[in-house]
Amino acid sequence: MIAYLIRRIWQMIPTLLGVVLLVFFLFNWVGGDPAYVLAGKMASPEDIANIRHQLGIDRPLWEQLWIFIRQIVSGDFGDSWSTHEPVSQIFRTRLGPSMTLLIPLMILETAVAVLMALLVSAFRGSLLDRSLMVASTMVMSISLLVYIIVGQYVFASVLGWFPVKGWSQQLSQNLTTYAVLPVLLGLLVSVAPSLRLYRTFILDEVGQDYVRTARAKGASNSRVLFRHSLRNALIPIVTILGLTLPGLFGGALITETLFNYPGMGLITVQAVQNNDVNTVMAATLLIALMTITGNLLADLGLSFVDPRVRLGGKS
Amino acid sequence: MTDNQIIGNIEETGNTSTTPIATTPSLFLQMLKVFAQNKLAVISLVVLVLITLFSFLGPLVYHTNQSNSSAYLGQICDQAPSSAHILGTDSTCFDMLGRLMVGGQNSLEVGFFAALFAMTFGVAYGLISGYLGGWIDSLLMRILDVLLSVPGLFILIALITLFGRSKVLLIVVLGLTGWYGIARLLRAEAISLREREYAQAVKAMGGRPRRVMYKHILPNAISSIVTNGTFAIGDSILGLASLGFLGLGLTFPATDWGTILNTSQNSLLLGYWWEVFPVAIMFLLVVVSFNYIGDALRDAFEVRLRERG
Repeated sequence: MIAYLIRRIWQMIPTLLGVVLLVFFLFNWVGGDPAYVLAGKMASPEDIANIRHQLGIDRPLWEQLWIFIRQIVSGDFGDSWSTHEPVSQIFRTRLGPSMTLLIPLMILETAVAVLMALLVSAFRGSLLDRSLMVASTMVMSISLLVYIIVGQYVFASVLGWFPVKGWSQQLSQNLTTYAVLPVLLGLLVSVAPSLRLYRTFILDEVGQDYVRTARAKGASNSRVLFRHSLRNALIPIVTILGLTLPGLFGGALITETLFNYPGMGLITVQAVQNNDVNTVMAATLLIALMTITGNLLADLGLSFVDPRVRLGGKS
Repeated sequence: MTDNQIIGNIEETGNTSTTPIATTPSLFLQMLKVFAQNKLAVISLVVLVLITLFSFLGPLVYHTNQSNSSAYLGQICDQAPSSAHILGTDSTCFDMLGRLMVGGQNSLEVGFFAALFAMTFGVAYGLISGYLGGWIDSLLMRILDVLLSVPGLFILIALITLFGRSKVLLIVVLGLTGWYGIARLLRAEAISLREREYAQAVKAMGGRPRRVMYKHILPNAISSIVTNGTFAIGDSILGLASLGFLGLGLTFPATDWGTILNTSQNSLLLGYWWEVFPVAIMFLLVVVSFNYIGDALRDAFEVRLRERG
């Protein structure tokens, strides 16, 4: 187990370096000069030079890269270019609200998608299966934007079941009132693609020899499905789970903005609008790091479930 | 495609020479039949054609001013549907029905070309990685790992703030973030196909790698490419909508369906339903249609797999 962990972390290093380089060059090298934007239209050349010096962008590129790497290691990304608040401070206060949305969403999404996938696999080819598949295609074809705009109108404004938007200081109140509608609407978008994928995973297992053996031994339908097929289908499901993280964070940009939810998504959108490159860069990096860690955790979870992974039988 | 048809034809003539009565229809016709049996897909195709005609030919019939907003100075905006404006007007006084047409043109164009770009790039990337293997494969896959770790929307945001927001750039940028899936698929396909006997045979006869890839592996992967390409169009249209929402879509007065939705974020709460529902329905119809057609195409291509055994 330890050997696997070390090997897995070792493999992560090139990816990590790649992400750092990608983020750095994406926001620095290819970009225009943010000093012009920050200084405004009436700035003199001295003003601009001054701002460039303050931001540290007048130094050579390799020196900036080194500063960026030092920032990553120390966790101190300097001050936001627009609000002048330390970036690390911004993230510390914004990560909580985002997680109040994302964690329930992930748990619910996985649970609902797995249960529904089991249900449709059990009745494979039936009217229920076919109509659910047709419906899921329809549900996943609607933009998250439409869901939120219509959802806020119907459930919050007309029916008054939830507040339209907002946020309180208490976790419990957020979870029970403010986060409910965004999570449910997010669920609507994310369950359908997962359901379709999980269904094929489970159906792949149902066709295997061991399932026939289990049936031959006289195992009941539900036992075969839950004890045999599901356990094996969990392997690809857990692998996929880590890969869904970037999509969830992307969705958070839209959800948090429309619900005026003070999380990472909203701060990123605001930073983009204010040309606050420092904050956007740090946010992108942070989310990429969380995704890589998520994939690592998924793989570690997998190695518990499936010894073949740990022993490195096949890549 | 042609290679397969030829192979199919050879098999056919082989059949007919021994049993003259049995005439199997050509592979293409069989696929067409399977596709036509899927009513949902046929309806989707009709819907898509209609919406395309509506967006591109509609403005020729239904004339509206969609470029000069100053022509509306002093008028009341957000008008409810009436005989003058069938779907009312939006918050900048543009005629909503005309807006839908212009927005549709941009959404469809960007969606289609971004998907085409993504497919071309992804197919080439996956083929090279899978077929050549070795250190090239490791390097290309590491790069893909890096790209997959960063949310696509963030890369989009960065690229667009850097390069600007013209239509061509939006196509390129959406294409640049849409090829990961197809590249992985093609790589897997190339790895499994390069060991097949026919690919080995071409190699043994002295065929260069490029020939093996383009003449033999690519046609065999056509089913994955077409199916995924269809889904990719829908995804690109949704991606463009997300950008429009973040204010990074086309610049005013040019518009797309996502930008229309963005400008009408609060319209429903104000009671201007005509600014939200028509565009939402268009969206749904187009993306749903592409997805259903993709499903049907996958089934249609399975006919070939069944025949191959």
